Amino acid sequence: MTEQIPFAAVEFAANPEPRCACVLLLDTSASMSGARISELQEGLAVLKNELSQDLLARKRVELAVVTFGGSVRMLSEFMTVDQFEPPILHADGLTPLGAAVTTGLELVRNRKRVYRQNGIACYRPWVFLLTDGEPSDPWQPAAAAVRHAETARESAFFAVGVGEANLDILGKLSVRQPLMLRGLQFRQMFQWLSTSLKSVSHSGVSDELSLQNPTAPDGWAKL
Amino acid sequence: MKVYGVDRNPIELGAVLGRGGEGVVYTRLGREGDACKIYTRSPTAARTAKLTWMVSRLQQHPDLAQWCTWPQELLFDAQQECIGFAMARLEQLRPIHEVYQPDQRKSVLPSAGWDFLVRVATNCARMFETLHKYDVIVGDVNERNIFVDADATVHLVDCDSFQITDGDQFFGTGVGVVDYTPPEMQGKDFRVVPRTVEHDRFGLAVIAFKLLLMGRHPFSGGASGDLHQAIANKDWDYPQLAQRLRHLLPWSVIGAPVRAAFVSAFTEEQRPSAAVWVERLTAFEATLQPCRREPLHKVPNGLGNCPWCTIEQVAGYAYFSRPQTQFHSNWQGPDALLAPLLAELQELPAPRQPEEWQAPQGMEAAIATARAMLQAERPPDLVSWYLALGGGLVAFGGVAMALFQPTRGVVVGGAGVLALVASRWLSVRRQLPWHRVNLEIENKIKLMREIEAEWKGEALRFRDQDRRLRAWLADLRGQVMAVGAQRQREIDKLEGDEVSAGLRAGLMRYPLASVSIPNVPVEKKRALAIRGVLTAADLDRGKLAVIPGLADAQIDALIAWRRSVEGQLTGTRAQEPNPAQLGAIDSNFQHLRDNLLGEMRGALGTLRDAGSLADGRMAELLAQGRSAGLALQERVDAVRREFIEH
Repeated sequence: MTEQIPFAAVEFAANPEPRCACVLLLDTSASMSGARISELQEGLAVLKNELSQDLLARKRVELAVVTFGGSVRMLSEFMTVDQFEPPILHADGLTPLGAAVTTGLELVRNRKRVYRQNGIACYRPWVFLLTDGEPSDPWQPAAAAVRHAETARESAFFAVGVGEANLDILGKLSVRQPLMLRGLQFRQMFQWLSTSLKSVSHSGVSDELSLQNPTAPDGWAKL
Repeated sequence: MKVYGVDRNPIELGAVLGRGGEGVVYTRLGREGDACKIYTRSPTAARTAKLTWMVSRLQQHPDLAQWCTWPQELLFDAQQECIGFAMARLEQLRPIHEVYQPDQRKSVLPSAGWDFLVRVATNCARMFETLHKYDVIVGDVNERNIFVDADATVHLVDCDSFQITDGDQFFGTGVGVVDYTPPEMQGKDFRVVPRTVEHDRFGLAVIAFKLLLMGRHPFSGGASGDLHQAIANKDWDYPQLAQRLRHLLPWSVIGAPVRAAFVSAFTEEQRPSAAVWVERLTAFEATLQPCRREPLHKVPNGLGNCPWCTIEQVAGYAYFSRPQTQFHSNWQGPDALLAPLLAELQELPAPRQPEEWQAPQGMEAAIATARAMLQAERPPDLVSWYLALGGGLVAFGGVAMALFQPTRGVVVGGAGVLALVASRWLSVRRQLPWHRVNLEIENKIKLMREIEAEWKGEALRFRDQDRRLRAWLADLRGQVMAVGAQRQREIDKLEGDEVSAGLRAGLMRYPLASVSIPNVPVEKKRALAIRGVLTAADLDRGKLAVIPGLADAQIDALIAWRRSVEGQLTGTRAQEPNPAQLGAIDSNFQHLRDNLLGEMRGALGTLRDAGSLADGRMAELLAQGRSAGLALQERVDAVRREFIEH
């Protein structure tokens, strides 16, 4: 089979740096409305700003945003930080968390395929889930998909709960210990995410994730 | 914080230049060429010993500090604990990753061609050569430690992490970056396994590769996509990859000796030394010639086509191109341009009023005198009148007589007719000279009337011409004023076009294959791809409607996805209009306006010339009138003298 030449080639010619894909799965169900959604919105801007300041990370980290509030929506396709603009979030509807996780995993799988087609090296993609409720759809298939992705080293899955989030289900969904956000420390959380992505995108080591502990007394998370 | 030099002299720190994982770099007040690195945590005894060795070594070999920020002086706190060191300060330099990444390089070093990148690679090799000469191993080779100057010279930073061996003294590095670590070191603990010069040579080869091959890591493109695995497995396949991906520089473009050096560096454990790199890269640089089309395209001698031009054509990406500079319009408002013309118009005499005929002095009087004189001088004609009367009577008598005595009657009648004819002949004969003079003088008067009529006609014509020219000038002025608005409309239109072109480019970044769209399974996407529907930009209902086997719900889903992508793109991705197109608009309208101004200048000239032409013509006619008047006068006088003499 002769391979087609994807249009995306130009973007990888202009910037052949290895990529670190990170998809943010953001809960925008009705319960997120008010302070939560506006703090989350601020947090996205913090993430963009922090990553932009690192000359290498801004060319290596690719962000995508998927929201699940009522339905699963892709708000922003994978883009390197220097091109990424935080999308505007609206809180509405139920919490189709399971479908969102499945979508997120598929997105990173597809993105990795695009990298491979274009001969671009990459680090293990991150799927970063943030939710404040209980899934309103079956989440068990998603949990199986996460386990599969983790064991195949396809992606690293992180789950963070806000407020009344069901940590039990998050614990079953994620291979890693899920974390609870302290109060509304979205900014601190995204700062941590930015620092982590920077260190991943610099280390060149895709296996180890030697991240700052966010559950330290001054961190943004608790167990 | 108090900082002291080796002889306890206080050192003042200035502004923060940078923060790293280990410490903070400050400027040094009073010594602008220096910078001071102060560790966040006090250095270990081993680190202090290493720094002490480095500072002392510099005394014997000052060239160690030539291309790197080698520690020059230890810095202490008040308790005389070493807390950092002073080094040379680097200014205005770019991290090397900004130089080898094509898009970054195009913006930070727009005039750098391929030869510049080859030179940077050679200079990197020189830098390694200097250090290796003194058994100094860089160890932690990476893209953030090497800085490039605008003249292609390079400088290493973070020299305190160099690995140094001196007799039985050994100071390790402890850190490293996977991308620049050779296969035999992948997965090893940098804190335990000492580095060798071969490891540095691998890192150097990776840096040189990235510089020469447009920022690509030699091992990227491996099956796993993971650099660590690819390097460990020596999974190096750039030559094949470049055959498959048309945006990559063909491997054969690199000179054979340099190619061989890369292959050896990436596949063997005895790697080309820095000196070998210096020699081969220098020789390779010497073979580079600019291509005919773009001087930044450097092509090795003897290569047929310019590979850079080819890539531009087949892959649509220009690895070297001067950025189109921001367009600065020289467009002027119309006022400054119109001002001199309008001032000139002001200076011209006001439009001519329709004038009364100013007859040349004495002309009308001359006509009146002539007419009066002719009237007075007309010769009396009584004799012929009497003769005519007599002749008439005789002729009548003759006719009457002929009724009774035909023969006598005819004779008498004939004599009467004869007398009549004789009277007319006599009359004509006597008045002939007068008639001649009368005709002559009336002709002269007629000529003068004609000149008068001509003058009036010309005055009217010149007045109309003046009005027409002034109206034309006003019209041109209006057109000149309107050009600005026309130009703005064109620019607005262009910006409109650009937004939609920008949007299209944005949509093209969204391949169908990389997203999941509800109801549209992978096989369907493949069917779409076969028909050229590859990205969000290709999705429109017309195109989708003719694709067999596509359900309405699927079309709806595809369109909805396109809309959502569009929603994200609009507003945030508006592109600057293309400077070249803006320039073209300006030059078109400048051209148009120049033409209009040229016409205005022409009209002004015509107006000015028409004025003096009219003045001349009127003066000429007046003169003609005057001379005709004089001629009349003269003739009248002559006639009078003649008649009086007789």
